[in-house]
This record gives sequence, structure tokens and C-alpha cells, in this order.
Amino acid sequence: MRPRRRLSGFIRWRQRRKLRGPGTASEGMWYTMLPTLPDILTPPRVTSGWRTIVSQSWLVLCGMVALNLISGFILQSNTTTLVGIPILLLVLPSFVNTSGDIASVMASHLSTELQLGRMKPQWSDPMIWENIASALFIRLVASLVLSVVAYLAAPVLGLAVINLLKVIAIITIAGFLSEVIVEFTAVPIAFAAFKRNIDPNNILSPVLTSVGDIIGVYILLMITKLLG
Amino acid sequence: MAKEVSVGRILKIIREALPLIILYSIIEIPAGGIFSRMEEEIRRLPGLLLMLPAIMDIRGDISSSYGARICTAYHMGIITPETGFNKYAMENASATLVLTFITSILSGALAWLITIFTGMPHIALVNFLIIALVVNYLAGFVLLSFSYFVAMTAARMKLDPNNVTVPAITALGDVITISVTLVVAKIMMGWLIP
Repeated sequence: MRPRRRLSGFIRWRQRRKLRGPGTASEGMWYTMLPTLPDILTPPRVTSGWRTIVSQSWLVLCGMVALNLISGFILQSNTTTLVGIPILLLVLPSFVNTSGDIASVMASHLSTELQLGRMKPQWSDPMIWENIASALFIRLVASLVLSVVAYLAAPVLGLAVINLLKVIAIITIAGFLSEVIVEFTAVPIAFAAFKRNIDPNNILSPVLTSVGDIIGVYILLMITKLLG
Repeated sequence: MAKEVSVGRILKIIREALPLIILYSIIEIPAGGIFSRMEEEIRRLPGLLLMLPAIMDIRGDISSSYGARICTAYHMGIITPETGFNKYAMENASATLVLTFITSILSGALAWLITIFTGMPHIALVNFLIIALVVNYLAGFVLLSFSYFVAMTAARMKLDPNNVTVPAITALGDVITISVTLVVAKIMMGWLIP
């Protein structure tokens, strides 16, 4: 009987702790403030506070860690294509992050509007198309500016200069295409999360920044091979 | 609920987001510059290069979902410049601390496992974990304060924080994370645990 009593004592201790609320120094000991494994893995009854956030997003974030380690591995094999046109290496970090940036602006909008009830989780809602249209426009202008800045910065940094039109064409076409793909992955994820009572904030921007990184690099490589 | 597409709302998003996104995409160009200065550290700490993309991306992910939650809470009236850094902001921040711990341990351990399986030269597991934890918490602290500050400043300037906060975090996140990694790697080179 002894081990069982000890176990039930632990359960009672945890219930007492939960009654007084998570994250408070309920029993005057510092370790009661530490999250336990069940705290992290199980969604709580009350849907607010840090336990909800952690239990909704830990799995996605761990997946993103794995994805990034794999993609870092794959990308090393493709460096030869990029080294041919050094100006692309200069814009690569910026180019890749911009798709994530713009997509996460839209993700942030979608999450807010869905939770405020101003938007319905349906493709027919006009607010979705407003967001997509403005994201694509922003991407076009940002790509143009980025390619001109890179073209002007390349001789200063001692990189080989190629045709301005070619730089603009590669960066703008690749940017627009990757933005289209990222936007159209964002919307279904937001709808699915919202319908399952998961806060889209917790899932959307992590997924989009990672997807934007990977898709951005591949599309840039593809367009460079096609046009270069 | 909106009935039809309104050009006004499209223009509002474009007007508020476009200048900052262009600014951020130009800010990110130096990140590559810092990266190229790390050759010495990368040579002395084999395996660091493998972990770096994961650390940078996860740092941005955690902070940007924090920023997005702050924006939603602002629109709901829970966290506003008037209420200041209240209980709800604290709950959000503590969630990111727990998530940072989980993902740092995971990225350090996975990077170590990959080096073991592929037979690459590598440093001890403890070093991977220390670098991941220290970089993530230092950069995380900077980024959390920064994103709260940006969101509240945007709100005071009557802009929609949704348009401004998240790109600010992902753009400056990379620069900050790379600089912190550079400093931590420089210190770690003298204190490697065998």
C-alpha cells in the first residue's frame, strides 16, 4: 500500500497546486514555481496563460528545430550554384527573410481578425483577399528595392557586377513566386488551427518563417538556373 | 464583418508595412557580414555551424509568436500602452521562457547527434547545450523587451502593431542572435569542456 499512498499524495499535492493557480509560489518553495512535464504536455482547462501557449506550440517548434537542422544540411550541397553569381549570396539572407516577414504580417492580421470575429474562416471572406493582395504588392516593391540596393552595393563590397536587369528579374520573379506559395500555405493553416480552438498566433508565424526560408532558397536557386 | 474587398484597408496595410519591410530587408544585409567574420569560431568549434540556422530560426519563431500574441491582446484591449506590462504580458513572456528551454535543449542535442551519426568532428554535448541555452536566453531577453517596446510604440503612434512588430523581430532577431552567438562563441573557445 505504501507506494500507492505516496502516489496519491503527489496527485493531491498537484491538485492543491493547480487550485492556487499555475506559476504562483503556492507552497512557499521555489520549486513549486517550476513547470512539471504534465504542465507542459497537457492543455489546461482554462484557456489562457502560459500553459496554453506552451502546450499549443511546443510540438510545432520542435518540428521546426528538426526541419532547420535538415535544411541547413541540404543547403550546403547547393552552394556551388550561388557562388557563380556572388551578388545573390549578398541578398540571400535578406531575400529569404522577407518572405517570412511579409507572411508573418499577414499571419498576425489573420490571427487577430479571426479571434476578434471580424473574419470568418472561409476563403470567400474579402478580408483574406485584401491581405493577400497587399502582401503581394509589398513583396513586389520590396524585391525591386532590394535588387537595386544589392546592385549598387556589390561594387562597393568588391563583388562581380552582372546586368542590372538580370538581377531585378531574378530577385523579383523569385520573390513574387515564393510569396504566392507562402501566402497560400498560411491561410489553410490559420483556418485549421482556429477551427480546432488553437490560437493561430502560436503556430502560424513559426511555420511561415521556416517555410519562407526553405521555399525562398529553392525558388531563388531554380530561377537562377533558368535565367542565369 | 466585411462584405466586400475594401481598397482602403489594402492601402492602410501597404502604407504602414511597406516602408518598414524595405528598411528591415536592408538591415539584414549586414547579418551576412557578421556571419563571414565567424570563420575562426566555426573552425575552433566544429558543429556550431550546423546548430546556427536552427538557433537563429527558433529564436525568431518564439519571439515572433510572442509579438503576434501581444498584437492580438492589444486589439482585444488586454495589453495596451495604458495598462503597461501587466499579468497577461507576464504570462506570455513566461511561456516563451519555457519554450526557449525546451527548444534549446532539443537543438543542442539533435545537432550533437547529427555530428555523431555523420562522423563529423564535434565538441562535447555539454558545450552544445551551454551554447544553445546561453545564446537563446540572452538573445531572447533582448528580443522580448524589444518586441514589447515596438508593439507599444506602434500603438502610441496610432499604427496597427500587426503591421510592424513581427517583421521587426524577425529582421533584428537575426542580427541580434548572430552577434550574441559571436560573443558567446568567443568566450566558449577559452572554456571548452572536454
